[in-house]
Amino acid sequence: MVKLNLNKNNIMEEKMHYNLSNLKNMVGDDPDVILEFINLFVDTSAQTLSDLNNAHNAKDYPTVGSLAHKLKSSVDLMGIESLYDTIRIIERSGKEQINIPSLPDHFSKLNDVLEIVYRQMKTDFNLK
Amino acid sequence: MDPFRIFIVEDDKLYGELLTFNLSLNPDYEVELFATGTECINNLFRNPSAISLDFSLPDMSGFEVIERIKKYNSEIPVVIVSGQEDVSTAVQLLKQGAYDYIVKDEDTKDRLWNSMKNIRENQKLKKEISELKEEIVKKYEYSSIIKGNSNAIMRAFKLMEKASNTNITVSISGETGTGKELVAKAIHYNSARGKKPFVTVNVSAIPNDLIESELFGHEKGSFTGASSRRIGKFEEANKGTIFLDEIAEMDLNMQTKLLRVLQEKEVTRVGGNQVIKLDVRVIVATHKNLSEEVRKGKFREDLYYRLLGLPIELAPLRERSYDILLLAKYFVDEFCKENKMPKLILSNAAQEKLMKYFYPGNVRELKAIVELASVMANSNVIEAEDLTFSSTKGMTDFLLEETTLRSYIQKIIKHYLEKYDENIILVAQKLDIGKSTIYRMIKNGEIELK
Repeated sequence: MVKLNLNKNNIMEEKMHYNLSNLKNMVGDDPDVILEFINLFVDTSAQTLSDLNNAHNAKDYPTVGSLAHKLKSSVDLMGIESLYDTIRIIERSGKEQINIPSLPDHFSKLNDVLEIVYRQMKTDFNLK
Repeated sequence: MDPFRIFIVEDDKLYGELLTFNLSLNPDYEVELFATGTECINNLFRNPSAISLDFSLPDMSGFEVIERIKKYNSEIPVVIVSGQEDVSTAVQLLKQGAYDYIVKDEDTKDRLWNSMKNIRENQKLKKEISELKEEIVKKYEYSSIIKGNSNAIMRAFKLMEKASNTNITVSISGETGTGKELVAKAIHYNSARGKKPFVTVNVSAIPNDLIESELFGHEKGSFTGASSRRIGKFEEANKGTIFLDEIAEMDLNMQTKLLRVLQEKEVTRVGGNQVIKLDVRVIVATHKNLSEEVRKGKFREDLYYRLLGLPIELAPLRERSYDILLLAKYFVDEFCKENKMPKLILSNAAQEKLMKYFYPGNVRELKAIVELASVMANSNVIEAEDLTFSSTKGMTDFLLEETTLRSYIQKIIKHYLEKYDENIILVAQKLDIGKSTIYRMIKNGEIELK
């Protein structure tokens, strides 16, 4: 490996942040179908993420919980492993209103990783 | 076959599309996606075969949706597909009537496919069962199970109809082979209980020491050999009908127990404490004269009156000779159909021979005789010599009883009158006597008409 000196963010940048085996298990290998679902994921999860950020800023924790719950299955489906725990912590914190002070850290990770995932997908699939 | 229509209720567009796409891979499935509970409820009139429901919806909770679906039609299976991993929620949903609970993870696809496959097989089986039930009901329409135009049969038909319209206990009497079980089945399948169980118990075929557990069931370990709990015939027949054949053969001790069950309308399994409420119509049958058995002290009088209910007497075939040819032709036709044989007819001599026989084995015997004759026939005509009668019992019985010639004459005329529906002119012709002889005997009270 040549990237020994890179900072944390750069390491995140380099590795693949998603894995399509779950999706392929559900819909098969047809590239057109995969592309359709990637598009759908990018659109819907971006919307959910934006709603989630708004709810967090407004300290509307029950909504944070239910939106995180919704996003959880998309994160799992797209094999975004580095967010498996994060999204569950956010869901639980929101629903049970616990560990609120640590939420901003989890939110920043969520936003960072999803941003990278979108970028990687756009490159990999020539999305507009 | 109707398409297997699946409703998917899922507010997450990605997951909803994913499930829709995935299930649509099966060409037999017609899949539709709804984003809210309300949309799903509003479309229930289109009769979905199954519903896949996300627990967390924007407009109502999974509990509410499932409740409203069940209220509309409790038969629609609902599979919950949810990101929820809370066991108590899952348990509560299953209690509320959810068919299955599937968590969204890498196994979702397989579990959902399995669930849908099971639902589909289940529905197919249910449909088959209900079709078979319809068929049974059709099979037991009165006119298709009991053939005949004689007065005796017409009387029986009327009574059967009355019996079907109520829950009254029915007691059927008649010689062996007169169709007691068929009548019991016809009453059951034409009654409001027709789609519930019909359970037959032949009392004479069960040893005395086993009959109690056979009728009322037993708990595990209640006696040597009771290795597991067993449901009794009464419990099995709950909401339906129990048919106790050869009731006169029941021993007195058991009669007492049966009387108690009939009075209390509840049963306790042998060795058990739990009282099970019963809603069972009872039909009994015997070839013996029950009142005679009561007189002899072999049958409890109180049980006799409780079981008597609506008595239906099935006349022996020799007393309804008008039906002999009709039945013979029917059995020949049925036999040819079943065995894919060309149609057979009965020669005049064969018909005459059939009419003269006295059929101690009744309709069952007639059926056996003509079926054998159908096999023996060398052409498409059944001749007299193709008919073989094996029984001679009736005649010797008649002669065994020593009596006066006058009494023999009386018996013979009485027998012919019963056989020919009390048609005095016909009977006089058959016996080659003057009709005035018969009229005189009636006038003297030597012969009574019904």
